[in-house]
Amino acid sequence: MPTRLNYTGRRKLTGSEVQIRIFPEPSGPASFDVSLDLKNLGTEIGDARIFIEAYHQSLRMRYDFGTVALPLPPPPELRRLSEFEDWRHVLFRVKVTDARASTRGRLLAWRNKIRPQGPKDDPEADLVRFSNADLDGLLWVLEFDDDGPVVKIDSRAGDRFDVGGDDKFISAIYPEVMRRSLVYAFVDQQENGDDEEHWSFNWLEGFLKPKLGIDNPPPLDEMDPHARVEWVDEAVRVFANRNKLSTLWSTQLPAEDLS
Amino acid sequence: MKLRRFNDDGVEQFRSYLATLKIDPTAPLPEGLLTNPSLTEPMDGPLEAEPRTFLNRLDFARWLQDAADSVGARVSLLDTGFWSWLSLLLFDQVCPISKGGRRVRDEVRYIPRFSDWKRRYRHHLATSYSIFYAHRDNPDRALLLLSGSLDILGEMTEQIASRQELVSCPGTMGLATLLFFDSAAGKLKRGASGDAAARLGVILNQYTRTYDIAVMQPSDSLRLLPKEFDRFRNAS
Repeated sequence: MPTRLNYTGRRKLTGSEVQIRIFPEPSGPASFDVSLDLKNLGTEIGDARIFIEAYHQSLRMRYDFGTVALPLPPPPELRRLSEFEDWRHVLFRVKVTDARASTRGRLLAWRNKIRPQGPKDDPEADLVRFSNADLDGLLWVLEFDDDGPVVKIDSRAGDRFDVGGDDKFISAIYPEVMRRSLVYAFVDQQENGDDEEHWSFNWLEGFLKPKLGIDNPPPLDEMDPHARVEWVDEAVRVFANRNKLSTLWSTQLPAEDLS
Repeated sequence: MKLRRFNDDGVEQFRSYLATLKIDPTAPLPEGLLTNPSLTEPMDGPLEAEPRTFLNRLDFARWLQDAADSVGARVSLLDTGFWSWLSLLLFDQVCPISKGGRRVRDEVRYIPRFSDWKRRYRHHLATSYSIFYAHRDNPDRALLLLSGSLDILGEMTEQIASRQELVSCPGTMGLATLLFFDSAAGKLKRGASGDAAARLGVILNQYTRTYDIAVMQPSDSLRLLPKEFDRFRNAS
């Protein structure tokens, strides 16, 4: 099992210590609010500076939120995501940095890849993302990036959300997407779902456990290398059963085909 | 001239031309596509600019930004139709004729795939402009990636533009330029490519886990780099 070492003393902030909510505007750039609870960082780093960064691809916006002892958010008019064309792509990171001259710039705490909550927040929608692509005849492929699985759908088949939301696609493809995603994270990458910065954490804590009643994955065991694959199989089976996927497929058939 | 964008059919026609070029590098430029009303459409914000030969990527990006600024418009960094159209407009510069023909490369260099995180930064024009736009307060700090010609992607771009936290950060971009770019000569320092670029990318990625390089002066963060970079650090 890979072991992560952190010799720097940098602390990873938790999801409950940093919460970001986004407010789209009907005309003009969206704005955001940040809820910070940094009391656990200790009073000895009260002078440390807090920066919030919004980013997408080559663009980033950086906001000075004061110090740990005295957080001072910029006024709302300066918390606008004016650099970005579409706020739905924007992720955030929080940095708490050393302000002392001798160690200026050292990261004392941070949290990366924060997906903001929105007005129609749906955490499950973030488990899998959809995009259109030219797949040269294939209907769909599954790829992975740092934020998790991406289902790519050939543009000729239609809009990614139309195809991805079609009941036939859901009943036939979703279980396979789920299986491959879980195998990729929990078998191939040997994640345990305990790293809050890895997308597998959201899958386990935000979906598998609360929605499907699936427990933690079994420990990686050289004596039983199939244990995790069986755990994945069980999760997919429960998912299909809860959502009655075979029924979903059959109810889409024309009436004359139901006989 | 008024800049336009391809619709889906226009992008397909351009794609067909690129495919033809792979078979016949001397295939003539289909300039008629640029103004064909069934394949193109005007931009939402009307951009006007006269195409010309650009000294480098920075020169191109400034040209486009000036066009946008003059009408208070914004250039979309996600508009596949626009960036494809612009690639055809400037095709002699993004895919120049050499030895009697054009050597066309990966399609993504001319028709962007913004949804493909592994290749979205490979579009010659969109990447040049997006780097400029991210550092438009001081484009000199991005000269490392903006001093090259429009038809060459380069290992530096591969290594830095592909990493979001590096390409968007003034600190890391300033550091990379300070390290690898000879500002007096206006070109990369000798050896500043290939392995060195890859190593810098990996190391900077590690450093961003320990330091907030954005608040550090490039000269300060330069001192953090290991000895293997001495040959660049000490070169003028």
